[in-house]
Amino acid sequence: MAQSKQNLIQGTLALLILRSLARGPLHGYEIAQRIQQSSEDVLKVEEGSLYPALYRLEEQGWVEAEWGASENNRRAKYYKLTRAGRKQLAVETSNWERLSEAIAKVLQTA
Amino acid sequence: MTTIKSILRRLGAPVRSEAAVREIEDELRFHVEMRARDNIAAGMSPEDAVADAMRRFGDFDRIRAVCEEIRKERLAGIMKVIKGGAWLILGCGLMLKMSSNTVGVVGDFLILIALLWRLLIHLREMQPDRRRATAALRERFYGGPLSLSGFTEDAPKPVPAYDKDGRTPVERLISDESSGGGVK
Repeated sequence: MAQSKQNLIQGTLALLILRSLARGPLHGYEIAQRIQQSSEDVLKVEEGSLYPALYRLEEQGWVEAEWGASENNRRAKYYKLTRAGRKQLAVETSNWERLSEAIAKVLQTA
Repeated sequence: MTTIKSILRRLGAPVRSEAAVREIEDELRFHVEMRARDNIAAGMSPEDAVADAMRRFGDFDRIRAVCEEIRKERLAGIMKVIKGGAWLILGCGLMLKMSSNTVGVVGDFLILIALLWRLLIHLREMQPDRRRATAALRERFYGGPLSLSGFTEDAPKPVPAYDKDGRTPVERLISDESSGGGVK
């Protein structure tokens, strides 16, 4: 049971990160906060696990990073969506919507 | 322009391995510090704030190692392309040299470039073990103020790199918390 819960989070983390970045560049901590706040504290990921996911997204060319100054004037690494990342977000969102609709149908009929 | 900058950044960032390791450390540390700041702002004591920030973050060393691995994979891919490029130029140079006398000079030039290219790659591969650089950075990281700078009016006390059990302050915080003993 715990395993399936973990897989669900891992499978959707990239989508959540891409969606968080859709409004503009954010650093990792802001991404974690955005996910938690947007989900009204339902989704609480292990915050450190964001970074391997971000590095993978960067490797795939879906996000790009640049160092800048944070709101408290600290040096922070900001991530932003690339053009390919926006396309991927659209694809992932569409896939997720289809999947959740399908699951909802099963739950309603079963 | 943005695209060129982006390409240069993507190519250049992983090549500087020590800088890449430092960047990973800085980025993860920034996250923990930000969480600790928010915790303190919410009323926690500095020690509890750090412990909570580390707990929420997860296994710092493991996460850093995973990030480094991803960087290395990326670097390996780029190095494969660079090495392939050197062999391609060498091949072109040899073909030109053998084909006729008129372009033979160009062939010599390409062979020279390819050999220099290969030499640079070889020198890069001979660089000291990255673990030593990482260990030095860890020492600096754990030996310095972990997350309280800017919060306390007094200068932060230096934190010893390792305690008598050989644990870093972060490991100590985590194990103290997980054993229910609180932060000492």
